[in-house]
Amino acid sequence: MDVDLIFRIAAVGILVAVLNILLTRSGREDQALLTSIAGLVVVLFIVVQEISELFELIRDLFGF
Amino acid sequence: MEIVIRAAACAVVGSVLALLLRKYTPELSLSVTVLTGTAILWLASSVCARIVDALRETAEKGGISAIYLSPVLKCVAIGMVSHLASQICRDAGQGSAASAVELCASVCALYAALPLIESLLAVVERLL
Repeated sequence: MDVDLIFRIAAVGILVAVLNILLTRSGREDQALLTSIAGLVVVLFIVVQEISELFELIRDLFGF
Repeated sequence: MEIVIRAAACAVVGSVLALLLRKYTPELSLSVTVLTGTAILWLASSVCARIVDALRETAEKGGISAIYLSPVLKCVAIGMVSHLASQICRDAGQGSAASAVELCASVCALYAALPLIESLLAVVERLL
């Protein structure tokens, strides 16, 4: 488990927020929505992997 | 000691980043919180490994069979996982999902402790 991942997720979040604001200001609300959904999918991909690794570790540790 | 410092740093940095993201992208803010919790629990698990090993060794020396120790360890694991999940659900504002997870965890913990209860009942039966 890497603590750097938290920073990576936060960087993705800031990028998505900036893109969202830019696209909304230029009148492309649909693309802004798509951008935020894409960011969410990327982040969820990383988060779900990490959670599954943690649960595997706990399962090994406590003898399930 | 080093692990506590790392966990504290992780928690503070994660909270600040989540606060930063909350206004613009609340869903990614929640993801940061989830990842922070996972990272800290990961650190705790690395300590837990040594504790579990020590417990197993002590049980072996004392002649306690693994049948009695493993339900306890399973209950600890169920508690850890369900507590993390229910707190994340509460952060997301989903109190009902959080209570459902807690209910499921208590049922599962009872199921894990069933061998212990059965052996206790067997002892009582023998006494009577």
